[in-house]
Amino acid sequence: MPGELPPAGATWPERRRRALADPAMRAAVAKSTRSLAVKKEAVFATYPAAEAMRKRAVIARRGSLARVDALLDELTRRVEARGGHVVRAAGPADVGRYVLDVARRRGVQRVVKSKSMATEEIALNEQLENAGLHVRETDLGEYIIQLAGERPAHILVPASHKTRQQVRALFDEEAAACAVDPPVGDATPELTAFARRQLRADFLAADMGISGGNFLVAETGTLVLITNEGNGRMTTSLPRVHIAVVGIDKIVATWADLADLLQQPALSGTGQRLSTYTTFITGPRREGELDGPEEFHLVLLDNGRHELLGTEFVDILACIRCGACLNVCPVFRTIGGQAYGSMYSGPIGVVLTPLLGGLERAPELPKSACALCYACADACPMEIDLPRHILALRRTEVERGMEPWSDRLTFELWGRFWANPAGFRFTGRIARLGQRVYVRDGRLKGAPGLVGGWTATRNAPPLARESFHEWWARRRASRTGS
Amino acid sequence: MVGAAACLEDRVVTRKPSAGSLAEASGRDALVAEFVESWRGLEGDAWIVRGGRDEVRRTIVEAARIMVEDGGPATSCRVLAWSTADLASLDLPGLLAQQGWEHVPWPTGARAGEAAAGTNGAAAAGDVPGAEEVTRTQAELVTLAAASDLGITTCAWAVAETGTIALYATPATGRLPSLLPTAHLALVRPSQVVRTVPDGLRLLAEYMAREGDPPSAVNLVSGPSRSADIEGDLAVGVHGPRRAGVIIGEW
Amino acid sequence: MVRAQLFVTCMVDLFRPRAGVAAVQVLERRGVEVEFPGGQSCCGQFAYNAGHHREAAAMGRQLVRAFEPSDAASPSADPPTVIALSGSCAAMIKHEMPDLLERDALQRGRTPATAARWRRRAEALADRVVELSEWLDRQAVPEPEGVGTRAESGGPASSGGPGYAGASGSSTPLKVASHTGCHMRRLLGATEAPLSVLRRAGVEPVELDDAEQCCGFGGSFGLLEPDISAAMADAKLANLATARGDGVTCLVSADLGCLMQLGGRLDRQGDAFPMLHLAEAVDLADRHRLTPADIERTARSQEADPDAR
Repeated sequence: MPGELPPAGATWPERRRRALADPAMRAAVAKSTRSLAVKKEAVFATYPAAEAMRKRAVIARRGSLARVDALLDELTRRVEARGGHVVRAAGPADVGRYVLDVARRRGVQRVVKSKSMATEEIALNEQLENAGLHVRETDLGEYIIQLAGERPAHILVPASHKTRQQVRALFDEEAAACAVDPPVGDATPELTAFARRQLRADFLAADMGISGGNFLVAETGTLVLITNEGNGRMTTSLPRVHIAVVGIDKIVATWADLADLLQQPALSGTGQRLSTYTTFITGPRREGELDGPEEFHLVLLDNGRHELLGTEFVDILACIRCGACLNVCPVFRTIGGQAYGSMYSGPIGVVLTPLLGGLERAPELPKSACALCYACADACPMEIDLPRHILALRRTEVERGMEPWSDRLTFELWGRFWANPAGFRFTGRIARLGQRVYVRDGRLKGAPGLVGGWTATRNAPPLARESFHEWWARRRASRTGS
Repeated sequence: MVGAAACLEDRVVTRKPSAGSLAEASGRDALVAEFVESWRGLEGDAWIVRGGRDEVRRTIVEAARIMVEDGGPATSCRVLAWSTADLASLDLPGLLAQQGWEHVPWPTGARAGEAAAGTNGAAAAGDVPGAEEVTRTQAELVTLAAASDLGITTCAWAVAETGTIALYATPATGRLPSLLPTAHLALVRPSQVVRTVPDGLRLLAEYMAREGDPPSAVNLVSGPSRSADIEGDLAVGVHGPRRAGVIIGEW
Repeated sequence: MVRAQLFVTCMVDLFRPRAGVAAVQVLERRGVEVEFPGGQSCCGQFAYNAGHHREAAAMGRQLVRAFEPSDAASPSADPPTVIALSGSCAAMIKHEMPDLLERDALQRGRTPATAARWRRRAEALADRVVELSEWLDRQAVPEPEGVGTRAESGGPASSGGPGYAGASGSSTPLKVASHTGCHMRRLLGATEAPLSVLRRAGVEPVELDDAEQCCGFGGSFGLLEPDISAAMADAKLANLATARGDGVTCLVSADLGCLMQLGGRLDRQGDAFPMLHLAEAVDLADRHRLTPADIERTARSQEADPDAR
């Protein structure tokens, strides 16, 4: 079944315009991505075990994806044997229905969430809030984004496009709304102290915790949750009910596989050797235990993933959401994450958004949000061939006739002429004549059609009076003639 | 895999003083030193104790002063501690009473004694002298833990390379003491320190082989809670304990 | 005498034939018999990256034909190396073309045998293609008599040599900024070659800060997204400005696409800075003319004949 993603919101030209017109955001993004990319390089340089583990992790991940269905069955049996509930969800509505059903049954009013791309993908908060539940994002970055009414701008650091002044303004507003003291200043500890106080209250009052999951270990039915802040531990330890919403792609077969994978999100994401908190959850609290959730539910989310198995795109399912591709992407560094109109931004978003949500939902991403510089391919710890996928999506758009007819015609004529030498020389001569209309002060400052995109922001030299072909012919003639 | 882990255990557990053990001891020291360096690198507090039980007890008080009161007098301090036999041997109630501090043992329910031996590096729990046979609701426990200044636990193993401690959730070794108090202090024996995360996971695999299942929750903790969500600026103590400390020693 | 075929690329042919002329002279000075197959036009990368694989394949087939040895009768003779004046185009041929031609043939309803034949022909070309600076770097051939650096003729000039000819007596080598295009860097893995070639030319190559960052050219991306592309160029130009402050005299690249992107953006901003194709820089060095004045003059002139006024 194809998946479904929330709509992009504004149009691509509008999102692009807003991004380029926001120097504060662009500076913040440029700074944070560089810093993360440098940290990643540094940890791989100083921690030799990392690279060997990474290579084994790639094999583990691909091996598990090759038998997803069998592993999901095994996982389900194991979780159920431990008293947990497992449900398969095809898309957003299935998850919403299930979670609301549990909430009603258990009299849940207040929900705390730890950061989860899967629940962003299905706009779960909206679904729950529409049903009257109070939902609080508890990752500091997600909390900021929730207060701002935005989407995460980066897979790993969702609020990295915000300045501290903007964060303080959001906190001030929240303080006024809750009639509590605002942060005393905009220094990081002061802002953090405000968030800690507010979120602590939310944690203590919550009836249900909703988390995502970084990995699922089939052989024991274990959910693996990785966070730095500890909000994942809070979310899964304090409320009576814990629901984990996890993409089916997160499955790994064994603990041996996990041993190689476990450090990879931290290594490539933040340059840490291991994230601060790693939690292995196997079912609800056991008999005799006095804390931990009474109920554990695992929602296995498909949302278009299963359809990718067996296609040329299958390796995209190996993604561990570390954000390394975002941090090196020159386009992401230039426009930031909001411009992508998807919770998945950067190179992974360029590929995953159309694959999960349909090419029609984001036709601009493959052709407009990638300069094909291949930096992402080098950065991806799971060796996902992102540039190849982007090329394939561009080809698919052409094959489906999704571009303007004028562009299509341009390429057809171009291909026809340049596929033979006489045609190539002919177009050169014609262009040399035609360019006269556009040459000012000895430069090309305008051009028709597609090429007009060039001269919109750049000049170009005019075509040379004598091409190399012509020079060579002249030289040969003069040599044989003399 | 299990074999390798078993070898590791042998190496760790054998502590007879002999000529050969000198090299072992220095290898152990190196691991401990690496663990401490990693842990401190993550903004965690660490104390290495060589003097045995009494020094460990003294260090607990010092650690509490530093982590809870930043070195201040700490006139009042509520300490929530796991109720394991291993910790009981330190007589925390007596130690804390001397300081005028409050000791709150993690309540062990009627079935707490069934917790597996070897969990979190120590025999647990049911027959711990002084352990309260209290049943409390989770809500009460949460309130109690959130109002505690310090949580004291042991750990199942620790990883040198990453500065990590592993906490297994069982009836006697709840999740909250390492999560909700202002600070968390874990007691680690030198023999529990392994080099890599996969080495630690092999110990978990042994536990699983023995018990048939993983614990309901295992938490790997690498230093105090951290976030870089505001302008990439590192903030420590966003949700979990503001400070995380370890004491490495024998008692 | 070594034979080599020159693939100038469509951009050099049309916009900067001087770079092609410079390459011919550089190669001939090194004892290469240069051939220029007249059937060549474009590697098809632009169309390929835009998703127009049918058109790209048509251009690719023509390129394969253009460079195939005409004397098929003597298969024993090794076909000549194909020297490409662009890292990006070389990468297209080496990394994409065999797959592309095979797949396209199948899509056009050709038999699998025919498709496989196109793959083999493309692979044969791919094996022969080498980007200019890689070729120069790989050659253990001595620098030509009396050209290049002031190092004594005979052996190759030592790296970081004593300076260019125009600055006789000066021991400080001229600083030039070197920009390596993304495909050259990541697909060909040729990060060292241009630097080493420039050192052998007697100048001190300087990589810009954030050297690995794309200049924003990006083929069809640069046309579809002029604003984002220009913003990326501006980031690169800001790093160039720093290097200019540190005294680099020009920007050299083995890819004309990057140079047109950066030069065109700079020009639009009313600024100017000399930018040279690597072939031009080596040609100037060969002729003892890698001096600020000659760099300036060469950068301004795009005409094929270096002696043309």
